[in-house]
Order: sequence, then structure tokens, then C-alpha cells
Amino acid sequence: MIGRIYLALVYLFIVGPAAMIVVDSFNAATSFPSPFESPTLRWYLAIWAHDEFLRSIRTSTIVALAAAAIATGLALPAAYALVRHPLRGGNIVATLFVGPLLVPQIVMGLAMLQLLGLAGVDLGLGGLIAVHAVYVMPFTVRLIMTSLARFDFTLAEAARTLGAGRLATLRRVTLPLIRTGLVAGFTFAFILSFVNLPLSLFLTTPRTATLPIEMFAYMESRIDPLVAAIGALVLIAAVAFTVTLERVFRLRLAG
Amino acid sequence: MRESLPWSAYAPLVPGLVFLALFLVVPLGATLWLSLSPNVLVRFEAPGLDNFAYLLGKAYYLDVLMRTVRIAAVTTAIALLIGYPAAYVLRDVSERLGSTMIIGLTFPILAGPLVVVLGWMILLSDGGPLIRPLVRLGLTGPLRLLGTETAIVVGLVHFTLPFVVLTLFAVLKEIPHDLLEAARSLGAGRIQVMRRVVWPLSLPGVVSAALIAFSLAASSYVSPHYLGGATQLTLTTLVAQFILATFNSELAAAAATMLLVVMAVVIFGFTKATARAVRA
Amino acid sequence: MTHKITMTRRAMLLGAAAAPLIARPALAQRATLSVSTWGGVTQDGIKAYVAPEFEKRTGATLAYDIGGQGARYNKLLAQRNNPPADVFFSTDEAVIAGRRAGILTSASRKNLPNLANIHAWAQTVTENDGEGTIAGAPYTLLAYALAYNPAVVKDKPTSWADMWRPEFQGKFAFAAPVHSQMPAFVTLAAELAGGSLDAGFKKLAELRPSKLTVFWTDWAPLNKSGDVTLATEFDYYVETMKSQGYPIDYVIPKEKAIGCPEYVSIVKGTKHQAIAEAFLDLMLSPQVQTAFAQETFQGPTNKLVKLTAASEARCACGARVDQLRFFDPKVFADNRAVWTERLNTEVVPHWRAR
Repeated sequence: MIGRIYLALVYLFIVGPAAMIVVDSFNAATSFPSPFESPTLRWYLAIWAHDEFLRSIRTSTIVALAAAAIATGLALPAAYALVRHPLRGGNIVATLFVGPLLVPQIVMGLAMLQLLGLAGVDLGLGGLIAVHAVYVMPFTVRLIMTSLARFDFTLAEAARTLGAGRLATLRRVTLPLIRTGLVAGFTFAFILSFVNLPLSLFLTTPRTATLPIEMFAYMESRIDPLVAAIGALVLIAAVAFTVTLERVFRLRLAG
Repeated sequence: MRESLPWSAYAPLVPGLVFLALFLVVPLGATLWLSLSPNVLVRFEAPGLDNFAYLLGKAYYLDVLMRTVRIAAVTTAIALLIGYPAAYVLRDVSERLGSTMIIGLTFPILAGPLVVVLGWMILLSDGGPLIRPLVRLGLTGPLRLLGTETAIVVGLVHFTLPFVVLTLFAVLKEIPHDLLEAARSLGAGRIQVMRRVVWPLSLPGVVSAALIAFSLAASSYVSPHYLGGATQLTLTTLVAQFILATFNSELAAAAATMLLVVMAVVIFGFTKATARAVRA
Repeated sequence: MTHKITMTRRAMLLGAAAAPLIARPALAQRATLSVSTWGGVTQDGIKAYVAPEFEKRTGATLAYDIGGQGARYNKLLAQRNNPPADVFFSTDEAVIAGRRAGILTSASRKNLPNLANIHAWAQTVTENDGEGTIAGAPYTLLAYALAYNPAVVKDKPTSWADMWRPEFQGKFAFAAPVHSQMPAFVTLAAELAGGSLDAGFKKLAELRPSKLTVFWTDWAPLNKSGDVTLATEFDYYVETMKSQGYPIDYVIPKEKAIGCPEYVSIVKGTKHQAIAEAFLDLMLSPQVQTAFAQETFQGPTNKLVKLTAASEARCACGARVDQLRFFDPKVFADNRAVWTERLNTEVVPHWRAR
């Protein structure tokens, strides 16, 4: 019983701040943070008057889609190779693939900024997408490896013996069976890229500002619950994504 | 079997590794090069380590370095203290509820640190729903948390806790219930089972959870930026200040390199120091 | 007759339907001027009072890059070859630094007819690269002054020296070392301490600010909660806060407040020099400056601007200009890197040690 109460308190701690954002997004007070005054929808309606937010949502979507696609595309063959055969040095290679987790995101962004500067190349979507793809790659590798580890490779071999070609086997047998891992890897990569601020801090231009960057810039010049309203929308979208994943694909995050 | 693997078995690894090399290793090389270059504040003949000598020689920057390590270490300790019992209780929760609760753990990760930190700004403000009741009840005097190191630690514990719980849970749930039953039937008390069976078996998980928490905390930018402030700079916010406010690319590179070195030293040292305990 | 009209109407309808198709290439060529400026009241002001007239005059549209001056300046530095903005809003000091760094360029005087009516005191940047050119358009005058919480502070501050008053220590939001106005405090502190720069840094080290700020948003929540009772801030931000219900007001210290002419200048390498100059001229026009003064509390620099008494009381203009001190932005640009570093390494550590 004490255990359950403790767990409930920990969850309250974990969920509390995000819940505060949802509550505050309906707060009519114009200064932030303020005690709750009266409920209003004006902050949600105000989002539509800020085309920079709408534009940056589009940019973030493009960046996150591209980064997730690249990361998943590169992670799938790598994860397959790592799981399929006990490779010599396989552990080291697997560690290399999670290496980006150990590099602070702000350092990744700085490094890309400085490389582009030394090379005399302008900032653009390319550098931004590359850095986001590097950052999410470990997550896609891990999730696809987890799902491949449960995959029975004899099924693929059986298909080949029965006369299916290499591609047909991949398309008809392997991919459907590891779909969960692929979808989970892609989705998590997408969300993690979408909400990331430090990676983009030095790399965006007015034409490539992502949503977190616009929120960051907005909060420098004023603070009102408008950012809370945007935050609440992001939160709800992220939660909806995950819950759908869990329900539809029976995704298991911890092993 | 191992020797007979053709090179083609390694081929699928190549695209990913090349990508990481091009877009992570090469850029880091550029940063390393710049960190060895002179600038408006530190003049010397390149390449040299003068930028590092300069940063380590000033109390102000040394403070930033120490603060980064201190905050990350304290965060790690607190997150483990809170997370371990939570992960332990979580393993006794029914399968269905448990999987929902695991998903719940990822909400703050998926909402992104910016959204979460906004929540903390509301909660930690003096007039906020957390502190105002305490002050009203007379439990505490006026309390200023925003802009202090404490606020940063609170934000970072919150940020790292889900990762810690997920990591520990993965290890703890592998410990068979039968084993604990057996220990108990042999007369071991609760505490003894915990100390002699559960703790040693979970040690590898504790080590990796600690490493994850430390790296996440040391490399976090959002919490120190919003909950700390200009007097509570960490290496990440210092890098940002060099780029966005004082336009000193070389010192930014040096500070970033220092952060990488500190993290590498701590991770390597901690792994080495705990290696024996984990094996035993 | 009727038949004919129907035909005409049909033709017109067809024409209307086809128009977007035909007009498309022309639309695609419609220029967009990218404006690098502060978010909040400045961007709102441009959207409301500049954009409509600008579009009417030039046929071009405006796009915005908002953010702090430092972050925006860094974007210009990082992208010299393909500048991310066409016009840049900044302090006078940043105009000088930007010209030295080769990221800002001049405007042609003859394309800025409104320049003829701009007060001489606003033109603090004297550098230009030719007879008929000017470094930028000083579109407003701001006062950097002392803000205080009138609900809590009984004995309101009257002098910069009041920053050292014991009651404010630990309750004071002070410009961060990287703040645009910090060099002014280095100078002021040196004067208060008897003249030498070293003495000034020592004097600043005696302060105990509880919050270092770059934007008013950094300390506004602490003002609301009662944690900050004194702050250094721009007059128009304090006025903005006042209208949002914060318990705040400001005073002009007896040694004079810091006069800050803000500039809009042209980014080097812009493909829209002509419309950029049209934008600068619009920012100098009496119409725009009147609206900016009345709605966003930013003081006008154009002599032709006539304000109501109520508006005049809330911005840096009229008699108040004499209560402002204008520092030489060149001195700030020359010394900023070294002064910031000295503040960080010699002063800030003392602020932390309490």
C-alpha cells in the first residue's frame, strides 16, 4: 500500500508540470506566471493570428519527417546486421550507434554551425536535418534492434527455401514482422526531433525556424499563456501518438 | 562461425556509420580545431591550448565547470533515490496497468523539455500553486526558487527521472519472483532480501541509470537556461552565451570541448570504479 | 443589348477565373523584405503601423525574424554570403559593430527624405562610407532607467547610486554583462567611484543583484511575486508592464537616464536595397513614429511628430530628452568584448558570493 502511494506521488511529480501547462493555457491572466483568474480560450485562438507559429509548425514537421526517415532508413540495415549475426566487434559498433546520446545536443548544433562556417557553407534545412537525424538515430537503432531480437529468423529462411526471392522475403515476411519496431522508431524519432530546442538553437534562419525556436524567441519578448497553449497542443499530440502506438501495435517500451 | 562471416555481413552497417562520421565526427573536428584557435580575448599562435588555460584559470569559468558537475551529480543521486523504489514498486503492478504506467513515464520526454520547463516556471514561482500554500500556512517564509541552483536541480531531476525509472525497471523485472520467495522461505527478512538479493542483481541497472542521468543532466540546456539564469551558468548555457551574446566562437568551442571531456572522464571513471562491484 | 451584356459578363467571369493563372508569375516575383527585429511590442508595431503602408508603397510584403539582438546578430555573422534578413533592428552600438564586421551596409540619403526632420541627438552613429550615405535610420529614442515596485518601495529611488541601497540588495534585477546597456553602467559606476575604470568595476562588485536580465521577461515574474523591487529597464517595457498590470513604475535618475537611440539598418548583400531604403524611410516618418509613441511608448525622433500630453508623458520625447545622457556608441563598440569579460570574471563572482 505504501508502495502504491509512493508510486502515485512519483507520477504526480512526473505529470504535474505538464498538467500545469494545460491548466495555465486556459488562464485569462495576461502576465505569466499568474494565479488562475478565469477560464478563456483566447490563447488558443491567438495562435492562429501568429503566422510565425503556423509556419514553424510546418518547418518542424518537415525537419522531423526527414530526420526520422533518414534515421530509420539507416538504422534498419544496421540493426539487422547487428542482430542477425554475432558480428566480431558487434558490441563496439552497437555502442558507436548510441554514441550521439553522449554528445550534448547544444554541442552537436555548435559543431555543425562551426563546420558550416569553416567550409563557408550557408545555414539551410540540410544541416538542421542532418543534426536532427544524428540525434534520433540511437533511438531508432535501439527500438528496431529490440523488435528484431524477438524476430524468428528461421521464418525468413523458410520463405527463401520455399522459393521466395530476397526482396520478396524482406517485403512479405521480415518487414511485416518487425513493423512495430519500425513504426515505433520512426514515430519516436519524429516526436523527439519535433520538440527539440538545443539542436536547432544555432542552426535556424528566419526561413527555417522550428516551433521550439519560435517559442523560445517569443518568450524572450513577452510572456503570456500563449506559449502554454502551444505547449499544451504539442503535449496532447505527443500523448495521442504514443497511446495510439501502444494500443495499435502493442508496443512495449521496456524490453 | 565467427571467422566464416563474409564481409557482406558488415555492409549494412556502413551507411549509418558513414552518416555519423560525416555529420557528427567531422563537425566535432571543426569545433576541436576552433577551440585551439586564438580570438579577441585570448591571443596566441595557433594551434594551442591557451583557450583552455584561460577558462580554467578564471574563477568565474571554473565555477561554471564545477557547477555543471555538481548539478549533474546531485541530480543523479536524487533521481536514483526517487527512481529506484518507484521502479521496484512498478514491477509488482499488474501487466496491463504497468504498461500504461510505462507509457505515462514517457509523456514528459515526448512533450519536450521546453513545455515541461514552462510548467516548472509556474510551479516554482512564489505566487505559484506549490509555494504559496506553504507560505500561507506559515510553513516557510517567502521562498525564491526561480533563478537558483535548486530550481535547476528540481527541473533536471524531473527531466531525468523517467529515464532512470525505465532503465531500473528493465533490470528489476528480470529478477524472478521465485528467487525472492526462495530467499524469504529460507528465513531472510525483507531488508535482507533487498540487500543481499535484489540490490546486487540490480547493480548493473543502477550503474547504467546513473550514467544516463549524469549525461542527460550535464548536457541539458533548457532547464539551466530557464530555471537558472545568468548567475547560474552551466557549460551548456555558457556555450550559448559565447555564441549568441559575445560572439566568441573559439571560446564557445573550448567550453564545448571541456564539457565533452568532463563527461567522458566521469563516464569512464564511474564505469571503471563500479566495474568490480557489478561483476561481483 | 441584353445578350451583349451577358456575353460581357461571361467574359468577365472567365477573365476573373483566369486571372490568378495569368497573374501567378507576377505574384511569384513579388518581393519579400525580411525584417530582423525584436518580438513583442516592436514586431506588433511594425505589423500594425508599418506593414500596410509599406505594402501599398512598394508592392512588397514583410517577413519577420524575431529574437534578441545577439541571437539575430549571430545569424547575420553565420550567413554573410546569403543574409537571412534585409533590414536589422538594433542599438546604435550594434550598427557600428555590424559595419566593422562587414554585415551591415549604408543607405542612400536621397532615398530617405524623412531624414531631414530627424533630431540631431538621435544620429549617434556618424560613420558612413560616402558623401550621400548614412549608416542607418534612428527611428526611436528609448530611456534606460530605474524601475521600482511602488507598492513596496516607500522611499522611491532618485539616483543611480540608489542601486547600492541596502534594501534593494538581493531584490534587484540588473542588466546582465551581455546586456546592450551594460557598458553605460561601467562608465556610470566609474564616475560614481571617482573616475577610474578599475574603481568602477570594484563599485559594481559591491552590488547584490538577485537576477541578471537581458529581457524584461527575465524579471517580470519576479516583480509580480515581490522578489524584485528594483530593476534597470527600458522605459517602454516598463510602460508595457504597467499596462499589463505589473506593480511597477520608473524614475529618471538625477544623473540622467541612459538615452538609447535605436536603429534600423540595411544588411550587406541584400537583394532589395531599394525597398529596404523605403522601409527605413517609413520608420522615420511622422505617421509611423506617432503610432509607435502612442501605442508602444517608443519615443519619436522626427521633429514633426505631435503627441497628446498623455502620450508625451509616457515616452522619451519633448523635455525629457534633456534628462537623457547620450553615450558614444563607438566607445562601447571598442570596449565591449573586454568589459564584458571583466564583468564576468571580476564582478559576477562577487555577486554570487553572498
